[in-house]
Amino acid sequence: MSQLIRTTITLPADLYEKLRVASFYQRKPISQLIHEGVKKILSQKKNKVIMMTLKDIEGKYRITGKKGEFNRFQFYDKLIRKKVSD
Amino acid sequence: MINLSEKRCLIDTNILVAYINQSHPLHLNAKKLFQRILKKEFKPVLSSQNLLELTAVLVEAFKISKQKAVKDVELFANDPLFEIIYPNQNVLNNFFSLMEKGISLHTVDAFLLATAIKNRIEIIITTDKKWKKINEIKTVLLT
Repeated sequence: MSQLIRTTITLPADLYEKLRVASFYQRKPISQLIHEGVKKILSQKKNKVIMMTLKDIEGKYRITGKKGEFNRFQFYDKLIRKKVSD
Repeated sequence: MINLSEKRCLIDTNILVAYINQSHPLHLNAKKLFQRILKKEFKPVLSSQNLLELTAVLVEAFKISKQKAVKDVELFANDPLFEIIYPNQNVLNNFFSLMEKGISLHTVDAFLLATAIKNRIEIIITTDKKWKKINEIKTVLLT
């Protein structure tokens, strides 16, 4: 088992009350419920990263003409002109 | 011909745009370049400036929502294949010195060049021919 860290968290009163009730009915300490919730969220994020790869964005868009290309000179000059005129 | 093997190469924003846009005239070549990246033939590097520009292209030119644009850009930013480099005080000083020398690049390109130089990048891969005139970095043109 990895090292345990004691920390302080702040929760809205109503959420804490729900957590306390869940702790009672599930017969699990509040810290364990928080532990399980955090692990669940982190694994969801990890799965999401694995699901999406660079291949998913390859040729994702079909933008024809100059709008579909990037020319730094034109891009920034348009922005600068706008800033100057504002 | 520049040998890219094992080299850290800055990928310019125009390459990223060519890769994601299948109607881009250089899309197939950009796709081939990314196949080389996936095979780890060289070490691709992106500057925070490239990611900012790509986000702006998606939002302003492609008319994608900011939320969706960020998700796309994060694919590059979070992919372990890419090294992300950032500007700091040294980059700013180098940018000023390039500007004082009258570098023949757009001002914003000069900042990208300064970021590359200070992060010891030897090669930029771009579709922009202007980079070929610069001695401070080797240029590989995607044509």
